[in-house]
Amino acid sequence: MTDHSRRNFLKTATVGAAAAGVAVVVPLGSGSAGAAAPSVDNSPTHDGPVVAWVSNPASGEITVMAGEHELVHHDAKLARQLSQLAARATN
Amino acid sequence: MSSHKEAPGISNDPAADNTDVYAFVSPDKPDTVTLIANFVPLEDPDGGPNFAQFGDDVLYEIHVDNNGDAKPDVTYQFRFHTVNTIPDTFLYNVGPIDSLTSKNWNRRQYATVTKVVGGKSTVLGSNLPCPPCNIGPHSTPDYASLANDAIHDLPNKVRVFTGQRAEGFYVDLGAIFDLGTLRPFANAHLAKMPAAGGINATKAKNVHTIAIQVPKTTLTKGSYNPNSVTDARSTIGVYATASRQKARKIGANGVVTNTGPWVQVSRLGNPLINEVVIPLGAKDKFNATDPAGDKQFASHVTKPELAGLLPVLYPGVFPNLAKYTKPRADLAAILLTGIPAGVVPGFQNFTGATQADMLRLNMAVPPTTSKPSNLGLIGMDAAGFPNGRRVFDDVTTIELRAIAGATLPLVDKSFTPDAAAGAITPGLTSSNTDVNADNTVNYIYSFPYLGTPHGGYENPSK
Repeated sequence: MTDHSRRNFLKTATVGAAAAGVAVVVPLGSGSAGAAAPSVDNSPTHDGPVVAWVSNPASGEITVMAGEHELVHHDAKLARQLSQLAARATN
Repeated sequence: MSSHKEAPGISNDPAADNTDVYAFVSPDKPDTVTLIANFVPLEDPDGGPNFAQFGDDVLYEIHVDNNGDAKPDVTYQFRFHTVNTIPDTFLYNVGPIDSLTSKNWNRRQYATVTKVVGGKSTVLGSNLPCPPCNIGPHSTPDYASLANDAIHDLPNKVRVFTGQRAEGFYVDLGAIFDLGTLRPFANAHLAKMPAAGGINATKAKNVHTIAIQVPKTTLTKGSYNPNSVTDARSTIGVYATASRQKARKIGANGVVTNTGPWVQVSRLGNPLINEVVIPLGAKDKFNATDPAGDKQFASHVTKPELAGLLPVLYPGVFPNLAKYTKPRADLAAILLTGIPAGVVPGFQNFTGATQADMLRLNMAVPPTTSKPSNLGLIGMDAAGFPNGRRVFDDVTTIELRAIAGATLPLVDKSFTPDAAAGAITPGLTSSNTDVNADNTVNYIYSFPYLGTPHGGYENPSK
């Protein structure tokens, strides 16, 4: 992977992963009713499958994989939301 | 074996299991080097209906280091894709396969070859047909022709073959893993058994071979033409890897989706290192580690477990070896750095202080075309292992003798090898020029050098 393509991927996937995370976790939001409408984000998104790996939710570290690439994203809130979803999946 | 199912993790993943790596100056084209990496251990020729193949989801690579840092300077990548042309039959083929375009051939595999230098990737060839597996006389009646048609000449004098071949490595698995028995010396073993000749466990097995032949100057630093044995630029380090993507999702419909970066799951440089030198608890980590990180494993090489076991398993046979307590500088040179100048007269394949498990090939050493020794350098044949590795080199005997102390005087004149050190053998060859032993009869004298695979119908294992 060239530096150039890595930078492009990081730029794209960071935004794409955040978007994917929001898409996943929005149904969890207990206070979504009446919350302010999210601002429109026109950053590019990834069209193919996205895998998010959270080895330790407390660390807030999320590894986002797409295609043949990955990036490590830190988002304590998103990591916690994913772990809450995981708890639902195991119950 | 050399590296067949040698680690717990990879033993469950045959398509990615790198079994042997070879690197040698091509005897019939001495301005070129042939690099071979084998996969899929212990293939039974009759293993249908889904005969062995490369993994479409595996990244296969052969790496060459030409500046001694144990990091790849030139890499050849191989990816495969499979096509089922007649999906409504369970059969691999519905009639004789008489060509690589035969309509009777159902399940086909194609290769894409990419060269990577300095981070820049160049596709050398794509959609290159692999031959079918050797099914039998009704399905693949002229197998040698099919395989020959699957040798692809690419631009810049690159020649490639990817497909099934007869296993070239020979070893007495049944004996060696029964508490280190060497059948010819079983009467001296702790468990006292009658001495006998070796039994070749890979006699009727096939492998899947990736072979590439390239001009020597393609691999050297600054395109140097290697014509001086003493010039450091003449020596390259070679190793192969297999990688899988980090995440795998198995769908309910049987469709598998792989995602994420490639992660190394298998690697091989010198034969038998992960097999008998690296301890069980470190084998999977070894497979996942780049050679540049091998310093962490160096103590297993310089104080090999097997050197301690030999005097115990063969009481009274290795008294001098038993007393030797210093780190084995000979093994470090052979397996981790290459042999410096001055150790073996007129020879060196030293790549520097970086300790790394790579095959080191001094390409300035011409191929031995008349009565080469299967004992390579210890058989006074500098064109063979551990100067690279040819398909016929008896690497098991060479490494057994080295570990037993036969090569120790090269670096420690105070050590006298035990008489047995220069004599031990698994008993699979009658001499160092034996060309009629099991497996050795299969070799061919031109690319890809490994022989026509055993046919399933012939069922040679029975």
